[in-house]
Amino acid sequence: MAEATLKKPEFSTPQSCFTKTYVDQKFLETSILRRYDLFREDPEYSEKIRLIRDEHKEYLHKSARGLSEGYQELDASQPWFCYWILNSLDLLGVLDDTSSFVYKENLFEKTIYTIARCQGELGGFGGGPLQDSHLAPTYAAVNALAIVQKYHKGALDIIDSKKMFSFLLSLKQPDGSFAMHIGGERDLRGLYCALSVAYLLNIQTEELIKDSELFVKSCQTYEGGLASVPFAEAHGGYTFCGVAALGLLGKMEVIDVDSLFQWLVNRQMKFSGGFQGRTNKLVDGCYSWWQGGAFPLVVDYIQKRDGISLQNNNNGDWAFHQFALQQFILSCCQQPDGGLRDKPEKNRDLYHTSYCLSGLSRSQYNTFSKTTTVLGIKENLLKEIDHIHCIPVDKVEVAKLHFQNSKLEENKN
Amino acid sequence: MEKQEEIPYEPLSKLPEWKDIQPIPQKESLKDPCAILYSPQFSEVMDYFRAILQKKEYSERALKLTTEVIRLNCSNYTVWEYRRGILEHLKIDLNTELDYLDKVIEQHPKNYQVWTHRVWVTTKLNSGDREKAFTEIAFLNDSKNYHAWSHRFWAIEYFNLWDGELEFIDKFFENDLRHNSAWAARFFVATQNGKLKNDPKIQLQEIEFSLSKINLTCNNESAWNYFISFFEIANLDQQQINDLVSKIETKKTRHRFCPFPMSFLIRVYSDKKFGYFSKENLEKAITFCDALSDECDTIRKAYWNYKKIGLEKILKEEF
Ligand SMILES: [Zn+2]
Repeated sequence: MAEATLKKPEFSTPQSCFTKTYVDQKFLETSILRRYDLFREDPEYSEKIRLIRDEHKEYLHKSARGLSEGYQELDASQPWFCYWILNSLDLLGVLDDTSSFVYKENLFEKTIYTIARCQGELGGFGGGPLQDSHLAPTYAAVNALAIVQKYHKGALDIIDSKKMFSFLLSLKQPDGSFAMHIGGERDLRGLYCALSVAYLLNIQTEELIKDSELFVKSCQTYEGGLASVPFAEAHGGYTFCGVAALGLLGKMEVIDVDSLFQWLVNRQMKFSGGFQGRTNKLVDGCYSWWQGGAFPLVVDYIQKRDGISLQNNNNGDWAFHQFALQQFILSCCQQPDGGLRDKPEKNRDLYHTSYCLSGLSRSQYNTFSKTTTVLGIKENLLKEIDHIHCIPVDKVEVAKLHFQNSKLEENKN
Repeated sequence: MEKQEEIPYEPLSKLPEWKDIQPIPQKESLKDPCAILYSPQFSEVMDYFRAILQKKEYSERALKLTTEVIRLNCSNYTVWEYRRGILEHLKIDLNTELDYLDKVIEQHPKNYQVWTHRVWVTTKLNSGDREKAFTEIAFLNDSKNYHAWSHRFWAIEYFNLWDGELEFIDKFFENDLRHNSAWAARFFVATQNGKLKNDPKIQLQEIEFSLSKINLTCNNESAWNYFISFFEIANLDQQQINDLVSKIETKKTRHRFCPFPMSFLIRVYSDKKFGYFSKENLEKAITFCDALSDECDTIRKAYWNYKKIGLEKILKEEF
């Protein structure tokens, strides 16, 4: 573990122009400062700062038992709950602990049961039973099953790969993009979800991936980041989707990686250490993953291209400030009674819990130098997250092994 | 969610209109991990919707039911797709649908499905007459609403509504020079979705525009990103480049702690195409990397170190 050299918060430079964007930012900085004051008053705070594992586990346990009426508006995202909860529990190491509630309450069997009911007759998965198949819940369902597979053999067997292939192909567009569902919108999310699933299931035929890199390229904006569609604003969520898709395709070179890299590093906020989703917007914990998660593929490409190493002894492999991000997640995004959140004023939810933890894991593991960078007590170390599929790395291995023998020809019919 | 409780709920099972329908429950929801504790109303409406969906019934009452499902959960993409089928089948006047959609979007402006439906309706109507005014209302609530901007761009391109758009976007800058959605919008409109990106007149105009905003406030990444993107692609003669570079060099001296002028100059000094490539300038660029990594932009230390390594490599190879 490298020494935890914490950054002193730096206020944004004062300016004569007190614009709305500027005032919002100042307001938030003041509230974050109150938290960071702890660092300065107590010199050992950085060594003591901790991930409140028990509280998070309890929140996830409670959520797994049942969600409040407020979650009704996510009734069309049921596989997402399974994925967010399992991914969070797995990163926390709870799934590897056979004495945990997961085993007592048969969470794995229940997950398989729930997700199986969402599989559509024509392949893919819907947001709930009898809902149309849709790429987002399909992605979440496959990820959830991949996590379960290691503990409950047969989880991945419920996926009908042949039908999945024809479902994915039915959404493929001439410009290389994918529609989210029949009659649905086309953007980089759809492309990422489709390719993530196809590569895990080993059904990525030429026909399926044709021209996909061209669609990603068309979404790169003048700022360097990627947008949802060719004419919109560069945005962290879509940037991750595009970068991960190019990583799967092995075609990072089609975009301007230098301008992407500069845009990406600039999304880390000099004051809070967290990431913003777009230029001049406020920090949000979930971008710890969407922005932070895009670094490995970009850094890997640049290192190979330039023949240099970006490793930094004090901070890790990723060319963003890994300690500063951890400081933000641990001191601003943890809700004291469990669960993680966007920022201090907001409430926890399963989405932010999963993506804050994924981002935390990303900033702890240096995949190239095979070291870890951990802020606070050493027990803060999570399991390692995969840089493309956003599930723990051991689960990607299990899934790939499971599907490696299924022949493409068999899947095409 | 809050609004639901206000409306008294009449169970569908008590209405003669629905007597012939056998509702389909989601089944054994207790076995589900993270089962949602649905309100009785939500469950019942969904049970009837599943039944109608299975029957593929395209009727007035089915249309009414989809409205009810949408009121309870407007993210249900299945119901929107089904609703489109009904609208077509019953040949409903889509202007009424657009009125309805106005209200739904006002309540749920950040939902994917409502905007997807809006694209469908306006395409069918073959009219984008209401789209500019409507998205303007959405901006009152959140002027950076990603969906609303994307929809506006789509409509402008699809229905050819470019007129007056640059003036419209200018209003956002009056209030907020750091409004990045407005900058992205400016790029979209000024270049007509990229088509005029290589027009020298446009390039100069946009360089001047962004530079004038940088003059008002140097510490504004949105303006710099815009300025640099045009500077990189513009076909400028050496005199024009020199004028711009000397302006930025002055800014560098004046705003010692602002990272953007240095970042720009590192780029200019290290690429032969700008005419500033010399041993002296490369060494200067390296000191800028140090200043950024140690003083002005310490959070990006790793990035500036990487830049420095690249510059040192060039220095060794070329001089
Ligand atoms: Zn968020």
